[in-house]
Amino acid sequence: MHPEPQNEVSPKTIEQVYQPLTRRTFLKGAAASMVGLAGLTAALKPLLELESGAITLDDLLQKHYRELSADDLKRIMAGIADKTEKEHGVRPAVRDLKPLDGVEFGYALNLTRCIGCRKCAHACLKENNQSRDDANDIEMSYIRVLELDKGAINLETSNVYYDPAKVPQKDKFYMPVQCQQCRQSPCTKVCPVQATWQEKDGLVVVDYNWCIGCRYCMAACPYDARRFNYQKPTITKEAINPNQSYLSNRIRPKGVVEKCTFCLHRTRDGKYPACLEVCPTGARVFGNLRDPNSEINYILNNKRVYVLKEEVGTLPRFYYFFDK
Amino acid sequence: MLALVSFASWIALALVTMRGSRAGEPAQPALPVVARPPADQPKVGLASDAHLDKTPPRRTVGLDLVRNGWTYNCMECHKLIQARWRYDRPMNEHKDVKLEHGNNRFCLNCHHPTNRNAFVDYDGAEIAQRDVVQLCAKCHGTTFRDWTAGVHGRQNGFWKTDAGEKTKLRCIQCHDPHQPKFGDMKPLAPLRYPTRGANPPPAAPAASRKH
Amino acid sequence: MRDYVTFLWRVWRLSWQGSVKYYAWMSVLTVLVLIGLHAWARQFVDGLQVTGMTNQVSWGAYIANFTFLVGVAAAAVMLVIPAYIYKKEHMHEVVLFGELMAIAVIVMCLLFVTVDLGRPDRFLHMIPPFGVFNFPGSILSWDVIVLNGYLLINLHIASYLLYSRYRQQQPTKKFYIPFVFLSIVWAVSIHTVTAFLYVGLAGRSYWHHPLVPSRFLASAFVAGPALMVLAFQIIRRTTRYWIGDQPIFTLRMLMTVAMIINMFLLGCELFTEFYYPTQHAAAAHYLYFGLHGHSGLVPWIWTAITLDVIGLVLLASPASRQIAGLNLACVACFVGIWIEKGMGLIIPGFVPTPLGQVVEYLPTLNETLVCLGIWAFGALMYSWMLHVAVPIMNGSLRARPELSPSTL
Repeated sequence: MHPEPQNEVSPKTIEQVYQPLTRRTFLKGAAASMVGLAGLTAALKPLLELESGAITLDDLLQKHYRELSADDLKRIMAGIADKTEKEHGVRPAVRDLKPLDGVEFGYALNLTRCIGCRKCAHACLKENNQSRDDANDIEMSYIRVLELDKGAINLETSNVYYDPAKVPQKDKFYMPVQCQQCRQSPCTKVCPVQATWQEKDGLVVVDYNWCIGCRYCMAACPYDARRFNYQKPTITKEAINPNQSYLSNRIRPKGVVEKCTFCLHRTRDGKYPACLEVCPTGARVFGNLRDPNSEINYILNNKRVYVLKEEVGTLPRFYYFFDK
Repeated sequence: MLALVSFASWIALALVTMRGSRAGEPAQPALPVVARPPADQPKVGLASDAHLDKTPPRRTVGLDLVRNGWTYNCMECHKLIQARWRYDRPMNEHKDVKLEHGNNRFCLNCHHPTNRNAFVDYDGAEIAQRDVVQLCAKCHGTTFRDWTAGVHGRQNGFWKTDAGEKTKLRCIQCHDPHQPKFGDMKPLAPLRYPTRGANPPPAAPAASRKH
Repeated sequence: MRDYVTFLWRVWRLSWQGSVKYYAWMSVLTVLVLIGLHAWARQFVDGLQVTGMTNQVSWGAYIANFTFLVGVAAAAVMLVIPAYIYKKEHMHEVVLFGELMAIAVIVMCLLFVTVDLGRPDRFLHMIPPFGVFNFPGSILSWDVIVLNGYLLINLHIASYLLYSRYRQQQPTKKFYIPFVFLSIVWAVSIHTVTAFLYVGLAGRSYWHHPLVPSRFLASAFVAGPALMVLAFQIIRRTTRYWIGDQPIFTLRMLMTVAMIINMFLLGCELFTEFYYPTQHAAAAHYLYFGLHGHSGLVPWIWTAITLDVIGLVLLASPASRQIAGLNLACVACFVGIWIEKGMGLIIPGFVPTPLGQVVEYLPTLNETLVCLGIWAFGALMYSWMLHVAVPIMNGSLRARPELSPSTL
């Protein structure tokens, strides 16, 4: 044990202990400040490379999508179209599509029919204007097609990189996974700023102009359905789909999360989503859950369906089934 | 090229069948009139979706009548040929047809014995080409039921029918009726191991592939 | 009011007064902070692509450090409880330093969250009157509240006590004692809420585990005191404020108990994962043994486990009755828990992905520099706070120097 000296209290004050402010110390201080300032400037130098218009006052002051007036939204969408035209040379038609009355979307996928051709994953890119390094870069696609061993449905041993000369492989089956548009969506629950929410028709959407990019929703998603723009999206002029909407496939800003919206800009127009359009084998069934005569309800009533990771309690609007 | 091959085979067929022709018939059958309008197969999806590849997965074996619009009048030849009740020796013209369709053993299981432009129903009645679904339904009742409900096969275009047209493909637009099982496909480019991910696997599947 | 302005002026003056060593230390830290700032500016311009994070592993070193540091901040209660509840006199002389450490560490936590944001320019969206606050749904919004609340509580207590000391007045109990007790509960809450950030995610089985908050607290109550033990020795060596051995060895006792609990809970976790392995054990398998040929975290975690065991053995044995042995134990525990709770907790939550894809993560240089910058900033803040607080504590900075300090 050390001896325990008592804390003696200094009889002097700080002004007596330390040097007073003199011309000399002042100059020293000034010199040090200059060095410090220079250091700070050097440290912040990368900020000069920030392109003009990357962050505007309008962006900073913009309100949440659901608080915007119709005029404001119109102005903002025109701004988005301007920006896309300026940066990519294509002027998109950016629209704001509201949920249809009496509609709640549901999706079903027939695992017996899916052959793992990945057409859906690639169509997703073409439709939704995701960032990509080249035409074959499907990292940002909202659909991951898993190759699974027959005999179980074990996602843990799935393979997303499979690339044989021909599919389907004899001992494998295939399972595309995308946003399940959960009724109890963990992603919307955890978002600290309500930048993602469920719409009346069940679609989980993101306000790309409100998202702060904390990626908590990505951690919360049990289906790996969300993608983050780690960089400013790269997409060639030819690849741009000009049919765009504010909540779905417009060109995203850097640093925000995006996800499958069942091609909201198509489905709220009454069209089928792009992944269904291209599915060669007709494994995908899409429709209105509130319409008793819809195809999706036919599946739910007549086929035995299951949902992915039921134990997580997300209550998906996306169903899987096995049927010839 | 296609026309040439087809022309040559018509000549060959004509020569072969001449032996079987009855007396009194003209020795030289007239060449088929390719004047019928293309068969009215429904379109796949919307014209506005040019950026999406909507090709159906039908196998292409030899001359694909359906893909090429089926503009022949089958009876131009078949009026000369006796119906054959076996499938042992394919005809010259149809030798690329390989019948691998369950229990079906010969052409006339589906094709009408006297009118080759039509299919045959249970009672020997004709089923028009555009109603081919009715033919398939003879055996595939449950599939037909699901197809009618819109959950088997491909529907494209509009789910909301008051907003636009829903196109519904017929059986033979996806399935080759002689070999209905889909052929294998080349999968599109796979996901790559993320460039920013640490320790990429040594034999990264992306590296093995040439695009 | 005028007194207070004078006080601030004197503090400002004092901040720029110091020995060559003080200047050297602060300059080194400043350079590191500026390097970190530069790296962050690069990240701000280019986006998070300059980090090693991916769509598959969407949180990395930033959140790992954040998680660990929340625990260190919460550990200030390990001084407050003995000082105020058990009225241990000897803890009173150091409790302020613990609170100051909590302040510096919470600021680091907030910085780590900020640098993790993809859109830091939109941080106002999180602040209630300007933003849309998802409360009480989002645990992250709870975390924003508890972390900032803890910062404010500790700022209040520390600055009130210091200012009273400066004015040579006894602090009025009602102005700070309620906050001291609040801070105890609050400290537990910051770490529990941070644990709930992960535990609340049912889709990540590695985190969705009731043991996680308990382990968080247990490991925090080792790592925090470990840092304080080291800091107190630095204070008593380098400043004119003597900290006796008694508080240090009180902390040793607390650390020992917490470390035993931590290792026991670790054992429970390992048993559950590996005795009858389910699919949910895939993440643990990846962490400890590697999965599908990927084993990036294996050396990290075994280093951590080794350090933890060394720390535990030293703490529980007479070796740590010597200050050198105790210091070794502190370093071992601090580093071990930093790895285990940072990389060892956050990354396996994402590996494999919920769909079974294994993508590994390692921080990039730029990311590491940002982390280093924030650590340097924390050290800079704490050094500065000590530089100001110590003269106030020992009376050399006081409101009325003409009065004898003994009137205190």
